[in-house]
Amino acid sequence: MQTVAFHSYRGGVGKTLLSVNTAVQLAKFGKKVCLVDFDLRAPSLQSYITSESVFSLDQNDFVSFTEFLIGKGSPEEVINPTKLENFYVVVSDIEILQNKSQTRSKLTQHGEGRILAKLFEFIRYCNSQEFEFLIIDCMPGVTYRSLDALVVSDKIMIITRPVKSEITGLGLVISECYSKLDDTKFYAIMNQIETIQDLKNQPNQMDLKIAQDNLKGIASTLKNNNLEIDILHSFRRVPFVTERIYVLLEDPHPFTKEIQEFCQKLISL
Amino acid sequence: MTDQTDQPSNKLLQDILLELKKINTQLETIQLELQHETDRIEEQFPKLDIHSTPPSSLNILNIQEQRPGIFKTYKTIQKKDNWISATDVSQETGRSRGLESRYLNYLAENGFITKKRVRLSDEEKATAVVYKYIEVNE
Repeated sequence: MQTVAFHSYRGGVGKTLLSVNTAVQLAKFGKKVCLVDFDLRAPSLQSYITSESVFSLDQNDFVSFTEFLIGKGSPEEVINPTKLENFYVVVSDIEILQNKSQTRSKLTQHGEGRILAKLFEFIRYCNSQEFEFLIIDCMPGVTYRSLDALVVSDKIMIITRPVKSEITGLGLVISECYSKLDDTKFYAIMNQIETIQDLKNQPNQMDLKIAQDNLKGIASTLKNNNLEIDILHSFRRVPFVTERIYVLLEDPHPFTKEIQEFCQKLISL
Repeated sequence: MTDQTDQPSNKLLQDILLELKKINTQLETIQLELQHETDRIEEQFPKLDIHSTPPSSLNILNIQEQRPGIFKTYKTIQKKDNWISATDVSQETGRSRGLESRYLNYLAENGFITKKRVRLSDEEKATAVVYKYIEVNE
């Protein structure tokens, strides 16, 4: 089984959109996939899957991953089968964000090491169930929880947009975090890239120059460190892409096509 | 004359040696029984006390800084359900058994994994060292 984490320095770069669509597409390619929402601070997978009737999942009928992490649920209880063959989902609880959350309080009491131990327990269970891919939608930045997800993963997809703050952040997470993770493969995914054609349509020459400089900035940040980080895929900025599972509902669609190409690359790694 | 006096001494020494060998065999048997009993108890109560804390991600990264390459060994153990030997780990990682053995013992000494000695079979006296991840109490 391949454990693949989708991580980024900042939030809002498209991690969940990419990880959900990738997981569903892998399942459509016949791979047995489990998708885990491990963004415990801002879980959003539930809204994707419960709005899609094809999965036939009841919004009130989940045992959340946070329950498992605090020892109140077993791995089999948190892995939800869906109507889509080979596709399984694990959701996290919104309750953790609410005022006086009991789950959050227990999660804190459980200590940092216990969450990591539970994550490994979950991976051992998924291995025993012969999953081929475990896709983890991580918390952004460098927190205990994002580190946990990175430590247990075999491959890390680093999502970056061509924005200066994200390029600086990318350099930081490489030097302070990724470089310490021996035996883990890293791949860069550039998201929301404007094509040359798109850039030519920009009337403002300053914006054009910044956009081009930022692309070069990502490439040089990836190059100027001790790690081998190849750019696995560059997702073109597709206007009006919203929080939906395009690979399930929109084919043909430019984003669906890109996800399909990306999944082929992921399978062949 | 010397030969005659040496004969009883030699006999006595041989008897002592024989007795010592018997004692040694008995001690080995006791040691194995003790080890067996210790393993049985550890297997019965392998989990950590509720107040103890398993290593966190930062602990793992720190140990990797002290022993570059040890992270791979740690991850291999964490992903296996059963007790495994240094040979099993080396087959997974593609590195030498000696290196894995050193890493495994270091991880065990520092509380990252558990270690025990097991008898290879009921009949044989030969034993092997095996390792496993640390379970966490709910």
